[in-house]
Amino acid sequence: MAPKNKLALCIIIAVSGLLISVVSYSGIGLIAVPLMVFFVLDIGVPWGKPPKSDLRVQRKLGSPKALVDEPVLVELTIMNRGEEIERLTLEDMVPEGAKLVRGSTFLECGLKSGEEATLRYEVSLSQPIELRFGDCGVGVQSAFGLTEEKLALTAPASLRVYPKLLPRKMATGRAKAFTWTGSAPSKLRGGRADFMDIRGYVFGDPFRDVNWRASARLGKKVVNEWSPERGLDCIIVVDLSSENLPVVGDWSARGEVITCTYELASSLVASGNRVGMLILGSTVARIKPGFGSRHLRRMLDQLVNSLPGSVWKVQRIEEFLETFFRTQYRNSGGTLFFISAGISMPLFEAVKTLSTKRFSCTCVFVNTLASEKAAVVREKVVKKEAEEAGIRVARAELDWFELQFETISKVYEWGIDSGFTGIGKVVR
Amino acid sequence: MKRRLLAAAMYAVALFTALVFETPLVFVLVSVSVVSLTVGYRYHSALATFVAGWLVYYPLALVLELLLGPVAAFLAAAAAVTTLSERLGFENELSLVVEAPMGVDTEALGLANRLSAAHMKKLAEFLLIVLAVFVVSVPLAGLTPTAAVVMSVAVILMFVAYAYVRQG
Repeated sequence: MAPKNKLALCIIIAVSGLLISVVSYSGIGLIAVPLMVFFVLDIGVPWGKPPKSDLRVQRKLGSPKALVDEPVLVELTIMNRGEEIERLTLEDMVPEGAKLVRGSTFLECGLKSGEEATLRYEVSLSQPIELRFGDCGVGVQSAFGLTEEKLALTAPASLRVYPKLLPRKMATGRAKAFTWTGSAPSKLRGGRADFMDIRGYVFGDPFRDVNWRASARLGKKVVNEWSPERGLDCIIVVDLSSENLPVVGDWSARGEVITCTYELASSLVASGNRVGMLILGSTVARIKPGFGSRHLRRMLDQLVNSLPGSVWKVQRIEEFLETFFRTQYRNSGGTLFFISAGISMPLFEAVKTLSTKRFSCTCVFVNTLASEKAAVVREKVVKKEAEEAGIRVARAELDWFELQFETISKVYEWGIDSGFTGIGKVVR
Repeated sequence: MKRRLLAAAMYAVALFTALVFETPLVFVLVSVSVVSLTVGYRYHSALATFVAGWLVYYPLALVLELLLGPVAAFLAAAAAVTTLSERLGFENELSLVVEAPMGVDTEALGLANRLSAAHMKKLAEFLLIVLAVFVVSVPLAGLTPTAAVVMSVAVILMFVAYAYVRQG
């Protein structure tokens, strides 16, 4: 138990009172008597031993996975396995980025031996991330709070926050996302585009392909033949480098970039395309091209784990493609989707270089101007009149860059409310 | 509400003493006390509230001296300010839990109320002991004018030594 400022104050007042009494020959020093009673009552009788605390904490989350802006219940239970504690304070350290939506992170109570108390509150997150809960601060105090023993107890738990998949979908069509088709056959159920011919039934042909009318007419079993559908072979390059990621105070465009990527990947996968991913952030994450919802989940997990960084930059994209996606690079096959929240000349140069090498490039620019403006207003970074001017300049810059990018690639803009917008039309 | 009542009581005591004794020293002590009390209330600080209480000690003792006599007045004033400021400081700290902006659940509220009751009981014990000391010290003070001071020095030295041993 360590003394608190209050105890020091009590002693200073008592000693000062006594000194004044001695000097002035008055009864002012009697202040020391109630103060000492106060002190001895709080610390305990002289022959008593200070209580030995044996505290344990346990954390329980309402759900280990949640969506952005969805409240999650956090329960922190403290158990007293030692002697009775007259006064205890428990304060949970909420990880950075989490917003308290209900309840308090502070609890004050007394705990008898064997008793437990639970602190409950709800948090929500504004962007996809893996949140790790850890330490909580515990203060074991005497009844009047003159002494305190401070403890840091650990109750680990992790919460994965995923982006919301908005109900809108891009009209990618069957294996025709953004009008390109690749060389890989589509894994979409059905996997066929146009009717071509009929042919005799061969053992193993799907039963649903049997053309019953033609079979009845010809007197033998025949099946329909379809032209196989081709899926798009694509790699999504997500630019999470700090240089190209707008940040205002606590707000960053990371959440919107991840939501946009998830929406695009989801649409492409749902259309039976083969999708790979390269995330350039604090670390470089690569996901080999693949099909299906399980593959989509893998990509989503990588997106949630990714954090902005300054080492892996889009300038080196060709090198990454050569290292990680050797086949695609060698054949210049498939489509490259670039997703970025900030347009810059290095990105332009990278796309231009790849376009000249016969890569089919598509740039998706995440328009975060509205969110950025809201953050600027919230943080009071600039004056009111400068806000509008800033937005106009930023919009003009975005338009100018988009025009430049149109000369070398297809360009789309994505907004949290508007979805994907092509050149003058909405792609949804 | 309880916190507001206690704070109002403390403001009233401070202002009453300032009105009875219109001396510069009392005025300064009461002014600083009011500021400290407001800081303690606004920022939920038990220490600031405690300081506010002790600043009213001398003016209150002067007022009580008119009714009780010197020794009893100082003892009564000390007991009153300790009790009031400790309770208000405690309520200020506890209000961090019970008046949390996002609310608390019933369990946390129940635990806070239980703690509040235990604290009240402890304060009652404190007042009882002070009363016992009061009963003993008043006749002792009648024997010699410095008896109270001597007694105080003895008590404080004993407990400072006790605290030192306990901390070690």
